Amino acid sequence: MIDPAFEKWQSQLRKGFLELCVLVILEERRQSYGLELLHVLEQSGLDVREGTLYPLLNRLHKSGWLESNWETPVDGGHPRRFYKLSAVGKNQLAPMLATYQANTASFERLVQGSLASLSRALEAQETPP
Amino acid sequence: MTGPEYIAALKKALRGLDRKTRDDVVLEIEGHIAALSEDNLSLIDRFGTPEALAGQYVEQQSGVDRQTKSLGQRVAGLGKGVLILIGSVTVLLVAGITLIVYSFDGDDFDYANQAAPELSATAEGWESRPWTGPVEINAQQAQIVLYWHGQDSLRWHCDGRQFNVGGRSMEVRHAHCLVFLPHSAASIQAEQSAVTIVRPQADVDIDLDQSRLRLAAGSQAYRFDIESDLSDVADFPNDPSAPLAVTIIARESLVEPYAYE
Repeated sequence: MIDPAFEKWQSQLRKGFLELCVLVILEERRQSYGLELLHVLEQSGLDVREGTLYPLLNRLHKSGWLESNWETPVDGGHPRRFYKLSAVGKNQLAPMLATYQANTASFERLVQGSLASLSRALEAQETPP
Repeated sequence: MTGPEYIAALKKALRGLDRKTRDDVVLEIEGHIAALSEDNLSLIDRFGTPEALAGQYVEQQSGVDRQTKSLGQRVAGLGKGVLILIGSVTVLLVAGITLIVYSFDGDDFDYANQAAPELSATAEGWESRPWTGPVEINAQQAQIVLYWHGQDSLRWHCDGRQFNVGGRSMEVRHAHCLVFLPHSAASIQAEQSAVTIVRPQADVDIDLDQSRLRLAAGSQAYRFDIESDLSDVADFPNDPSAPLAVTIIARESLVEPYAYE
């Protein structure tokens, strides 16, 4: 059974990360819609469900970071809601990426430090007195 | 749970949202479901239950509302002013609805008489389009009368300038329309409009905002599911075993049986 506290931590970690991923995709593609975003995320190795993605898009839209418009495919079919970065969203993306990269770098230094300590401790255990 | 069942449940669960957000969410999810290829994942696996999915949107909306409210209170120091404003808006709203309802009264045509020559196939001004599958009708400040006929087509006669029949829906604004629907489920959204429905022959999902709905059921039995908010809704005889369902969500609206006056 999964620890509920772990699930909550995972969900919180994932929420901000996915928002960043969606903003990055939209920056790269200029605009995209739900199903396409889902495929891109999936191809990147991120398993995201519709029930996570659509509320996330709505949240970013309500925050004013995304703009949206409806387009009907040329060959007919159901209209698609395309999202793109708003001016506010574009301004937010650079500091978000910088924060993420700084955090990742700090974390890697921390992990390397921990690994080095662990390695020293193991060596000390293995060395006979 | 099938796509239409999921969408119907989602619509119901999203009723706490403002109309535009709700329409956008439903259309977006509906489009996604329509584009899905067959695989082992159910809609619940993908989206979660309709209630859980809707809950996320409603929670986000509440967050936005709370932010807006606290900002407003800080800026304006609201208190008595808010109450006065709400009171004024309510009075204006009631006056508006009364005016709309009054303006749609006084019609001497018996809408429940489907044998009327005005409704015959050869009458001038009628248009028709082949149609299968569900129909969406969106009415804004319009008067619309809906019938069902046993054909795979949508047939209509409109007076007014703004009406448009698209791929899956009919938009009616500032117009008066008589419409014959095919034998498929219908979804009707009405805002500040008068809608008359004559003996539905398929499931109907009706969403009313500051509107008047009149339903001529005749001897037909229906499963009624009615939710209302600040509305005046008449009692309709609900038959749980009836094959056809009529779902109504009414906000600041009037819902009553249709009788030729």
